[in-house]
Amino acid sequence: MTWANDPVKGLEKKVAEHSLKNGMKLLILERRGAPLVSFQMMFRAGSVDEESGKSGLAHLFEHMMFKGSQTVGTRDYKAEAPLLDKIDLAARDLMDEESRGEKADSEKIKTLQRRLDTLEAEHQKLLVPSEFEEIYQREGAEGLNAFTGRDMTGFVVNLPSNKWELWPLLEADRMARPVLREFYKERDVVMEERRMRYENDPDGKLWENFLALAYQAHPYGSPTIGWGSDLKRLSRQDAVKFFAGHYAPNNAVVAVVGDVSAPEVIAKCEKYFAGVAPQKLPARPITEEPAQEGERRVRALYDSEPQLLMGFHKPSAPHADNFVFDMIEQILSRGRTSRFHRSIEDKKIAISAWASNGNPGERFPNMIVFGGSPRKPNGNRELETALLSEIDRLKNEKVPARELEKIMNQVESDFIRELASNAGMASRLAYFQAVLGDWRYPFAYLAGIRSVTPEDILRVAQKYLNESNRTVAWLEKPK
Amino acid sequence: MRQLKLASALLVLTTLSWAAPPGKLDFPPLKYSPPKIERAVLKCGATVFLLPDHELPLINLSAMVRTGSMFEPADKTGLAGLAGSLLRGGGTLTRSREEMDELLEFIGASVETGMDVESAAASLSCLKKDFSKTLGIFSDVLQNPAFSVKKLEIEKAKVIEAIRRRNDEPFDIARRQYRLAIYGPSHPLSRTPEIPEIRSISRADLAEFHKKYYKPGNMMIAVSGDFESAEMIRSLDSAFSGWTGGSVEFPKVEGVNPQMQARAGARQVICAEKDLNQSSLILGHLGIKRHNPDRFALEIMNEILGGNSFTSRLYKEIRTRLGLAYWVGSNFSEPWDLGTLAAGCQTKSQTLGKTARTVLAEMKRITQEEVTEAELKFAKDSTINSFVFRFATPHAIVSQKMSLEYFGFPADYLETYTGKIRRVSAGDVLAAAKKYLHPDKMVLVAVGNKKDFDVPLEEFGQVKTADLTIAE
Repeated sequence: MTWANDPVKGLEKKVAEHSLKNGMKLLILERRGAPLVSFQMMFRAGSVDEESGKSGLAHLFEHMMFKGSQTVGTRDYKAEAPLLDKIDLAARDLMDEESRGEKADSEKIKTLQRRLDTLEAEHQKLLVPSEFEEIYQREGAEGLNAFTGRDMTGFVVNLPSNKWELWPLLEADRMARPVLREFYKERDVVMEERRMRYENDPDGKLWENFLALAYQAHPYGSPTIGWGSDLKRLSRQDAVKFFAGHYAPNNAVVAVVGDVSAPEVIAKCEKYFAGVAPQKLPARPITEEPAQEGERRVRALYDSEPQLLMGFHKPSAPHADNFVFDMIEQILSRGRTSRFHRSIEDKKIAISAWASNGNPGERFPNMIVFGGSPRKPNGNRELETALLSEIDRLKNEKVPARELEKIMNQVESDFIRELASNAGMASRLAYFQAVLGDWRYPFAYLAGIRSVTPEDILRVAQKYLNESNRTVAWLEKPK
Repeated sequence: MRQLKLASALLVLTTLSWAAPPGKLDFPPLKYSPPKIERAVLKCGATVFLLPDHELPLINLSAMVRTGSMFEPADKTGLAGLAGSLLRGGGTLTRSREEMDELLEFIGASVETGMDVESAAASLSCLKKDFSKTLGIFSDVLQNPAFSVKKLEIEKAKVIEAIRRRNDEPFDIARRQYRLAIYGPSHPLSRTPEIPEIRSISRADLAEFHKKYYKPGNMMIAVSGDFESAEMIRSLDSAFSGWTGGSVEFPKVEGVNPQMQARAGARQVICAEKDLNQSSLILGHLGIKRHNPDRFALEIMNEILGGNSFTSRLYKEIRTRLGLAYWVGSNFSEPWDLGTLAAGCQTKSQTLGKTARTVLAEMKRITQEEVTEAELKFAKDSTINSFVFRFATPHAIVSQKMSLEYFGFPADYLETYTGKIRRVSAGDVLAAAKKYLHPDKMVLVAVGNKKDFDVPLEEFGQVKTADLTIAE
């Protein structure tokens, strides 16, 4: 059977699944065409896995993975090692003094800062900056990047396929012998990232306010980028500890999609990763979010035009109701025939109105979120009323069968389109294996979404989309 | 029909064996000949590029029409953009927009149109089985747009609200103020629509714009997917039968003000005040036009200065060593008129001055000293070795071919590209930097909370405060 006849069914059988001896899971999809290959390595470790007071650690650690190893990024690791310890001590003294707040001695801070700067300057002489990235890029790598979410951390790169072996060579090296050098400078970089994405960006600011209100107990309420005061106090020891507990091969999934041979990839990965030992993963209980007992609202102030977010708690995938929420998302906000488009955007109430299921992660019960930007003279109040009236319709009227059929057709054609991208396929395979423990989920998804009935939508909308389960955040200009 | 001879260009790799920490590898040569692209001229006069690919049961088509916002009258800024979105969004003479939406979305297909500065775009994507239906709509949209007044009013309302929101994101303000300072208020690369202008645009303006430019002889099509070329040409001929015309009289377009080019000696500083704890910074000036033969040396220079996202001098200095910014980089543009060369970043208010000084120092250094052999070799190797990513998907291959012809690149542009990069020397990079990069004559734009800056902006040149008022 060729893809052209049944691209979906043919594809599932083409995925080679293999666990290395150390527990690292490989998912390989051979694809001919251009001589390229995409790698996605995901660790089931995200910001939900941080301890209280250490917010931002998972993400900062992701940055540290680019600092090299005992052989990459250094002129002389043996000379570096004692200096790294001295830098930690100097940074600790500085943090201790700074954390005294108003009682801190500003002269002492200056002296300690100078000491840290001097040590860091000395350390610089032993470094080969950006060497890890240079090795990849010199050989033509594209899209080298990494990202951290609430649930997981991913590392991605695309290579010309004749050089695919660079991947296991470099990745096994940084997993076996990472050196978290230049930690305190990278912490400053992340503070700038926090300012850029959250403190000085209207969307980021609203999102952070919204989630912190919606989750009062579960760590989904804590920003992945980290709270400013936590970030300031993170140390290299914290990062070393996070690595030991989470960056184990038995906590990783690797998806490889492109012009490679699966048996060859498996054989070489066994060889390169042989020196990376499995670890016992911490079984840390994560605080559950109690049922919400009434509407929550916040008005965040920022110098921009208004926008809003509204969310409802719900179970996450693979719960059967989650398929219904995926369907609701599409009915309300997919394309020009969607209900929000016709009744809100075309009526000039807002320039955008959208629904998004599955936020801010999928390992734990999550939310369906609605949002938008009102169009003057309408404000957040008018947009909120319009969104709620569409939500009410879902609770009171059965969705016509043709509307559901349309969504199913769209989901199916999306699926086929997504097969065209190596990186897109690799990302889906790795993500669903790492987060839901099942890379086949996207295939089951097609059947799941097909099974949703108009009655399911009525029931689910009535059960979850209620005032007492609602969190609303408005962004408004300060008066 | 002409076969691309790219294989040789790709086979010559700079490194076949690699030895450095943490190991040694021998890479086999890359065996790849990009697929042949067929070029044909349809009966209606449109040029078409075809690349059949039977991997998935899909068809993707992109078209470019020779027009763009550069040709709209300066007192109707925003007209071309509205025409671009309303072409599809305003229905056709025989089909309402709602009818098209229902039909396309029900089969998971799309037909979209849009506008760029130097071209107009139209695209189609569908399952193979729905091609004829989707192509019917695509061709109707290009030939017979209705520009429904009701839809125009909705779209205008959206554009007006977007104008009201243009000062929400700090880096957007910086970009707009930068272009304004470089090109003045009415050049196509800087002008932005204002609310009163948008209000004044009528259905007749859109219809006239369409009539003037949307002619088959003024259009190129790139199509990839599950089809046979001869059959595809027949389908396109039939879909566009009866559509004629090709010659367009293009209006004169405002060029860069020579005074802006010749601005001698001094730096110009623009400050846009916004109450933020992080400032956005852009530093730059005019650069080169498309087809400038020095662009290869300039590309390598930019790669070393700030173009490469992890290894450039600006990245290593400002991000890695000093921890001053998350994002920092440089780029250069090559439009029909002079483009710009610029660097930008975002840093906390208290380090704005320190960061600007560092950017300027790095710019100055690259105009004074040759880059090292190691830097040069890395920039060339990475550019040449990643060249194959331009052929990532069949649609990328065929639409790249169309766009190179659209913009007048020589037919052997891709075949000779890596050779031209390989020949760039350290001396060429220095010469290009000296000729095109002038840190002392730049425009510096800073958006943020001026009172918290570590250095008075006057240090960098004469300061002008930006007017961010939005006229209703």
